[in-house]
Amino acid sequence: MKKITVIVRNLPFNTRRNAEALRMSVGLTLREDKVTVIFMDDGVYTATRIKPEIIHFAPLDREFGALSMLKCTLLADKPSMDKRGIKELTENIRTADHETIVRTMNESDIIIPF
Amino acid sequence: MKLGILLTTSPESENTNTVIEISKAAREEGHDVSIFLMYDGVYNVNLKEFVALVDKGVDITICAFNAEQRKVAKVDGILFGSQYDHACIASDVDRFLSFGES
Repeated sequence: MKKITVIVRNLPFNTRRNAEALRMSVGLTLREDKVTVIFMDDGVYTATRIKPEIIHFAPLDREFGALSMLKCTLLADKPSMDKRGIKELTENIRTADHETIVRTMNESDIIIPF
Repeated sequence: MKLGILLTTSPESENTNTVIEISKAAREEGHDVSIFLMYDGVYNVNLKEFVALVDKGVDITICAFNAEQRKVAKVDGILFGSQYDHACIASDVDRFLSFGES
């Protein structure tokens, strides 16, 4: 079993990259590898309780639901959150300090910055 | 050694040339190379130099879902697969390289 970490760094509303990163993360579980998703830099906005449907942008509820159901670890980088004044996250996403993020990356067999 | 490569950018990106050259070099050294294209990376199958990697023994798989979204036509020698194929590549290779936006 490999440890795979996917890093989401983009703003949520100017690209479909973040949604695709989450869809890919769900797919990566299909060989029973351990998948962790880290939201950092502007990617932390994707981890907040945003309502993209208000501007007719496809919500990510399905992807987040699947990742939670598959017991993937979802982490939001605390320094990135602090810099942007973000205090609340979507359900099942944990705040992680710098050391946790670094340790997770160091322990990963594959890192995919998407 | 088995090398896996994920490419998510379109052919305008320098990533395309890097992936082509790394793949050629790896094949010349006798390594197995598997490439998975998704997101805008699926457009690379429109590039003659990229598709020519198939003749050098590189396995190329494209995310059929993204290809359909972008109206990318099927190309001989390239597997129109799914995220399961990507999971298999990631799981089976010795080294994995990801090329996306910087």
